[in-house]
Amino acid sequence: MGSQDIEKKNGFAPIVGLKYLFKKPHTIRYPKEDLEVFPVSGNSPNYRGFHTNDLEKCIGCGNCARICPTDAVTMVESTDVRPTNKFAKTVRPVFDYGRCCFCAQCVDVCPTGSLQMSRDYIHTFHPDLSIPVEDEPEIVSKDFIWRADMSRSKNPGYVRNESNKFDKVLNFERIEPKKADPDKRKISFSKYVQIYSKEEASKEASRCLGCGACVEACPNELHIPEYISAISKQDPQESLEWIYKRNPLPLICGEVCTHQCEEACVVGIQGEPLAIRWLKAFSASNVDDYLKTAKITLPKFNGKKLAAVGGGPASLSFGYYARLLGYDVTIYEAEEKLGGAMMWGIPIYRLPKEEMMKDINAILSTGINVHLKTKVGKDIKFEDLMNSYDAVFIGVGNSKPMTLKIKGEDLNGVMQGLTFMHMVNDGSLKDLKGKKVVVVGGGNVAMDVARSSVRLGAQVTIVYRRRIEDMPADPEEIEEAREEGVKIVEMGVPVEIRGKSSVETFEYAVASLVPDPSGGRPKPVVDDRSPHITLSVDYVIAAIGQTPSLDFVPAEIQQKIGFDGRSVPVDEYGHTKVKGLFCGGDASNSRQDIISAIGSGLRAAKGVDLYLAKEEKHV
Amino acid sequence: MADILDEIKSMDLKASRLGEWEFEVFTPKDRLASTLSYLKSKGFKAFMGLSCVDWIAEGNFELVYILQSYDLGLEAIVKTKIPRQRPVIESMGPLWKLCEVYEREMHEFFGIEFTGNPNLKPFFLENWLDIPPLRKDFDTLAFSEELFEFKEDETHGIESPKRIE
Amino acid sequence: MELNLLKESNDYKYYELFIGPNHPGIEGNFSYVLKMKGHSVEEVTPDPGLLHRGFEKLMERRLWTQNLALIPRICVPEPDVNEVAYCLGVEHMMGIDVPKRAQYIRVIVLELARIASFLFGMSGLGGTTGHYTSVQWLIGDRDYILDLFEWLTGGRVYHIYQYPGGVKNDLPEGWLDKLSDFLDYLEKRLPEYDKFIFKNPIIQKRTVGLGYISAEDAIENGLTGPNLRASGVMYDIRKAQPYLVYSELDFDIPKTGDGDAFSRVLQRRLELSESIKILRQCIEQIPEGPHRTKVPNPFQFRVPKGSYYSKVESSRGEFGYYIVSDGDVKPYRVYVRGPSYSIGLYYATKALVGMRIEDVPVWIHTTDMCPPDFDR
Repeated sequence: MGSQDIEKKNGFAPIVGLKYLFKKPHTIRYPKEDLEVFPVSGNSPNYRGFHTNDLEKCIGCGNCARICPTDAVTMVESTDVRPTNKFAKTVRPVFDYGRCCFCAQCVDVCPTGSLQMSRDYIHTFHPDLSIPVEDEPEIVSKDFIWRADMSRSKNPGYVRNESNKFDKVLNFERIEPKKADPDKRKISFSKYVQIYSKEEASKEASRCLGCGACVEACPNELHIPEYISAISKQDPQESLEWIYKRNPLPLICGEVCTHQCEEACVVGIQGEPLAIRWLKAFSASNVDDYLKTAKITLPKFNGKKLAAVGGGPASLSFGYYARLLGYDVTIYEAEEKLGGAMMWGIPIYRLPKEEMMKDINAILSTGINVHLKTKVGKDIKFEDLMNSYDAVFIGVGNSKPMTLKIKGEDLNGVMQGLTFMHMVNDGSLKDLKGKKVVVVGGGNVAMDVARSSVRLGAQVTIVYRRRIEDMPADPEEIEEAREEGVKIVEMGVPVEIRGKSSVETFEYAVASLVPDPSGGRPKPVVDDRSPHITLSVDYVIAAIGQTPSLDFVPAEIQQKIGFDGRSVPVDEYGHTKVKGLFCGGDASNSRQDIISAIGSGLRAAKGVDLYLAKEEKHV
Repeated sequence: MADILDEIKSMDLKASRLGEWEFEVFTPKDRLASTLSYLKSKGFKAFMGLSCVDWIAEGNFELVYILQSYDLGLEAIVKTKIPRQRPVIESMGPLWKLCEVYEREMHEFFGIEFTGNPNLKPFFLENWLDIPPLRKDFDTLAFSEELFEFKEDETHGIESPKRIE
Repeated sequence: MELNLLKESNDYKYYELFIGPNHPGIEGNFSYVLKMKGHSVEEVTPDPGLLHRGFEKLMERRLWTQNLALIPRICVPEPDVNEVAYCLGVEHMMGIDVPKRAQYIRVIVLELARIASFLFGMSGLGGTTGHYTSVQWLIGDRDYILDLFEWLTGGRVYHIYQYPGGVKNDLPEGWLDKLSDFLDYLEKRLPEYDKFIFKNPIIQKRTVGLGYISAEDAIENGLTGPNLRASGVMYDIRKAQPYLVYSELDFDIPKTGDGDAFSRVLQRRLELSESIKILRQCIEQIPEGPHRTKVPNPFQFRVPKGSYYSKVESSRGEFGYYIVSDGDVKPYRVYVRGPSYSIGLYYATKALVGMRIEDVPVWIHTTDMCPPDFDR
């Protein structure tokens, strides 16, 4: 119909309206009547009504509260809920419907998918008429503030469910760093994981929600959201500044940290967690001068002297942070190089030595004294240290390996995991071509041993007491070891090693698993019916754990600090029961990894500061 | 568009392309009127809007004039900077009477003086005594906390991690 | 109505009259203070601010994507243009390519919103001319669009459906069929509208010849959209600077002519038919594929340094967002150019002078002014 046609005036035309006198009205009497247009009864299938929250699934990360544009969400401690996993909190979102604008952004960012919206939107308020009018605002506001729960879940509206979870606002897919093929990497000791490019790192970092669940999981509470956010804006310098506040070994941790943060990452609940470790490696490798980038200004020495025993991560961290507080620190290391377990225990395909020295040299450049090839207890007496320094820090690692306690352990070719790694790392063991190696154990050391042996040309079998999923080693390590051709025998309990002077055969029994009634890991049990299998081997390497050795400490002090052969009891600052003696690293913490050691060093440095300040007051 | 851009550049002004149909021109404060009247004579007859950006770190206000040409189907964005300390610029009322209304708004929200604009009375706001509210140094949260009784909980009940600092 | 008597002469009373802030002739709380000489208007003073919520400042305090919950509220009758204009600006600055399907969905949403807004605007004309049946009819039919929106987005009025990189969820199954059913229904209704409203002698008597705007005046005074086109300037952003997939769609700019109140309403009525045409093509042509590209999550959403003026042809004219970013997670500055600004705050003060009092609401309504978009 053209415009001229419409423009014609016609007095009778409006009579067309009369026919609607006899038609059914448009009005829908909700909720008695339904709109015809929707495929379901009631209102729209993805209506944004009141919230539902699965309290059993919610982890209390608070992302809903942080995204809310109207500040309608508050996290409130709830006594009636259990934490969902070991990192979860017991706070749950409470909604103020006087403020909520029903935009569903909280649903979009919920990493667990527990928060959803229902199709309910009618809320009636029945005031108690006996209450004076003046009190009403308070009652009204209480009536509008509820903790969301599952009471409306029968009527789901705007939801993010399994079928469309990759379809919404969060990014659940990790950017994997480039890795060399198993065939290529198993013949060479060169590093096989490539550090992220700038684009990859920024893309991966942009998946972070910034909730900080990882911080609580980190033994050293690094500023993880802050440094990831800096990477996301492509600023590795700022990122390193954040890392360096609590971790002076960023590149080492970036390569080989046990990354418990990634287990806690909330994105990992529905998708793949952020690669926090690789991101740290990215920013550390993109910065040349740590101290300058981290804007460190060194204070003048305050005249107090501290000694650190052992040259591993705990002592280095202790030395660095104590130096920042103005102390003059001396590190005593028995070997010819610093680094401890990082130097001798970690294979170079995971942590190249030059990367490690970059971190260590930055720490040493702050002016820390180092005595190499000086074994405390042999070259210098421990008591002398106690007397000549204001405080002493013990940062020795676990050097006493646990033994298999089976027959034939004294044969040639039976080795301890750490001894083997030391030999690989110092170059005294160069070739295992054609040899058959059995590695006993399921931890990261066992993986390192197995994968190093593969690189030396050996055929490797790992024998572990439980199932693969029970192994304490990182899942990626296990996966990559298998890709490289390492055979893993589950539920194998070593029985005997046989041979004339050197190892010839290795016998193990296949155990059955008995669940632990107290909820721990299942127990392998060997009985008469268990089949026994014998392998012919050249080497048996036991990597079943180590304990600390405090032999250099006089027995009376050992007794005073309460050393039980496994760990040293300390307070939160690493202070032992002996005044002025601090302890950190594997000897005093249960997780026994690098980041815990760094954390204990940092805390001990603060502890020394507090302790000496207190001592001064007394004098 | 290329012709116009070349011509503007020959006038010693910085100009660049923004998109398929848009370009921006940077002009010093004293050449604003001549730039705008040049563009108007070139067909950019429709005045679409005036905006202001408070670049507090560099101490400038940036005025943004948006023009549209219906004949050419192009859009011109003319930008000029004036110091934050003394935000005075001449009114573009002689070119577009309409502009005076936008200037009145920018005067109210940024405190910019437009010389020659007869009507810079309060517009949207009533009895406003604080600093102009769209300036970057005006804090809306502090303002409403002062004005109203409620207390905003910035943490939303989210605890920050405990650390030994 | 209380009149504020200013002075009295032998022939006339001079008094002050408030139109608004709550007035059926104006959508939203906005008022004109009229100085009257007897029946005719002598001076017009717009009095904005009753609706001012400081959106531009609020946006500076929120994350880029948090703002998506805020901006639809700038224009109540047609909220989607805000979302799309904002997203287009952000996408341009970030260099994001939006999938074809998402662009089609956006066009569908925009055109549906345009129809809803036209129906709403034309119903206002009924209100101001005492033709209340047309209000019922048009608002009733607009509700069918809101039903479709509710199904698609989960909200009836504020859809919060657009997202940088696309739209939040795909078209539900069967939605396009229902849309097509609705278009059939609406097309059947249009001749009835024409008879009932446009050929109606009363409506024509009230609007034909009222408030002429010449083409030069329209350009000079910054009028855009149907108001501009009703004055004979055939300019439509969808044609001249096509965004989304408008360049792939076939539609015309209807020509009505002489710039009076009737032609402005008629312009909307005819453009409504064009919108139906566009929607039918979209239903035909919409490709399969993703409806969104991945963008960083809201907490890490950063827009590179720069500025851009993105604009969308709304039912009222050019709706523009001037967006400035300093590279952070929050916008540095967002300026909203509402299409009603020039007509509501400036041109009305000229055009209403000399008009009779009963024509003022009719004039306001035929310009389809929406105070929330300038009183933002």
